[in-house]
Amino acid sequence: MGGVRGRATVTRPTAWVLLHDLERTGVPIALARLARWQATADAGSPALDLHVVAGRDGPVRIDLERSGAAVVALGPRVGRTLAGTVAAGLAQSGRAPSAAAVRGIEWRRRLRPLPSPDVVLVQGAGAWALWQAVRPALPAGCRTVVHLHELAVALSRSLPTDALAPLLHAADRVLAVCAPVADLARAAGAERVELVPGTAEEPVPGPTPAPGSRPGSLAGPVLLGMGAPSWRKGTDRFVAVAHELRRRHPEVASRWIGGAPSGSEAWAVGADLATAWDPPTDAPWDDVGPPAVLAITSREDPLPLVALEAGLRGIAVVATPTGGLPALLADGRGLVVDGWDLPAFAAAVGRCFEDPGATEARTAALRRHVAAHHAAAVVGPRWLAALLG
Amino acid sequence: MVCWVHELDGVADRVLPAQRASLLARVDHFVAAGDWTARMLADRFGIARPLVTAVDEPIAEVPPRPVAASDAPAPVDVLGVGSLAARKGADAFVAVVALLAATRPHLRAAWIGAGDPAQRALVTADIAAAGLGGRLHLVGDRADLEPWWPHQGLLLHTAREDPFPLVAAEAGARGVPVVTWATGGAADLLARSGSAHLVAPAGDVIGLAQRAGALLDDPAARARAGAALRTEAAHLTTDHQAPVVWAACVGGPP
Repeated sequence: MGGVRGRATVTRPTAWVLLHDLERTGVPIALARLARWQATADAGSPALDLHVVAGRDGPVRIDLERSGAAVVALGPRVGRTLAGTVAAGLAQSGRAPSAAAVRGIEWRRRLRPLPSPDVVLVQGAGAWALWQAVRPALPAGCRTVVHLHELAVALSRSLPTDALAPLLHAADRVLAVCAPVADLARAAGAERVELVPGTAEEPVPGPTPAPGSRPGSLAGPVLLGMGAPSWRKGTDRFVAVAHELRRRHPEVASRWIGGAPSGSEAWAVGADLATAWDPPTDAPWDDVGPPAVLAITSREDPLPLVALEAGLRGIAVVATPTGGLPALLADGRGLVVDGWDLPAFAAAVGRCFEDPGATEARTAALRRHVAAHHAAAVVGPRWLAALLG
Repeated sequence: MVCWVHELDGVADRVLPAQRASLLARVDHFVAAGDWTARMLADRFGIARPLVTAVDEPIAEVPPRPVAASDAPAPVDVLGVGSLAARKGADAFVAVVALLAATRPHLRAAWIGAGDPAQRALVTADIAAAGLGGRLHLVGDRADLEPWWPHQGLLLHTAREDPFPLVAAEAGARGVPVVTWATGGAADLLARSGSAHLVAPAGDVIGLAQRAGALLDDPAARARAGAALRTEAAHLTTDHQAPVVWAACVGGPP
């Protein structure tokens, strides 16, 4: 066991990190940030040899590789491998166990060249199928750490209802990104759950263009939403708030960064949604600065990283009471409004623009809180300690 | 070859092959399900306007009002109809009903139509989270809508995209007013009936709730909107529309 790096032979524990995919969403990004912290902490001598195993490829791969992690993507970002196609066919014909067997054989074959792990980190419940597949091949004594990032609906979509308890039971350590997720884990039988929240990094000063300095950029007051549009992210609520804001504050532009609703959630072509839709980007904050308000309209969101990022940039946050957001925004750090009371939500957003003094006090408090509790240097040691046992 | 088009962009993109341009070129004439669909064909599919005839979709004659049976459902104030799919906007229906119910403690609503279990789970979660359990019922599929029409209420049509929703015309034929947003043929139907004020911008949940609430609180306005829509829907019977479609197909007068 153990990895070999550099000119001198350095043996350190090997960790396999299993995750569903490498898209630019919360679970992979949270991992990439901790991997980056690990790569630079302790004078650049990482404590763990990280091998990331993802069900699907994606843009976060490059972030992980830059942090020294080895990455194996078992499937392409779009489409399927041959084994994946066979497994999908079997699953569609009602032969789910055979499908899982085919997938498992292929995945274990792909992982055979990897150094044997001392610890396996299940990064999010979406990695459950991967964990099921690799578990039979894990060496004796290999520890399992589960880091849960999901609330109820996301959990129900990530793994079978009766699978969470066995997963947690098999884990040596259970981590959760926020208290409500920890509560769910305890309800499923986890005896001890440690909080390891997401992290955010201070924006790097540099040649970033000033807000509004680029064509199409976010000059003037703006209401922002971020993420892949979906029921869970409450994109429909954002549109409703944008309409109301347009009536009350026509000077405020509403933009959603992360793409437009698509598939069955797409709106009629040409529909006036009072919202501009920006594609996903690696740098969503480059053009954004105060006066801006981030609206988190999610129906369910454990602890969206964009709330932390907004905090570090002095952007006001108005959010629904889901996951760890009420705790994050408590004590005057932001506004929390019932997601079903859309007029009240829109009014709260409006207050952020109407009273800059109060807004500034909230954003300053949020900035201090995020820096104190969500810096990688604060969260990283807890994460590493859990992995090192 | 005549092509009778019943879909708007989203569905058309899913059902038509990528090489649809060559297929469209082989069509001699298009019958579009209403003006909204005709605009799609002309503006986005590049079909010459003279090749397109817009014909509102036909509906059945209204049967005599049934005598209330003992097993008839309790009347609802707000009805939604459609498959439980995101395109039909059941999530928006819940959001609008939540706003209406906040100030109308006795309001009752129902959604008729089934869908895939995953979508039903999301809508059910929304109903519970909004505190609407017991007040908003997911009825499932019903072969006969007659017992369900809200004769003292309204039809709330919240589809994200819908070329010419028959249910809006059927509601109108029964004098049931409709509130909707500008995402398809229901908006055209309301505008023609003089009720454009009952059409909200797409996705404007608050605006839709304000329009629906105004009707719920004003029986006279509700009656006027229902009567106007009944007049507009009177010519949409199959007996009236079938010759129009046929004329478009053969190129002669209806």
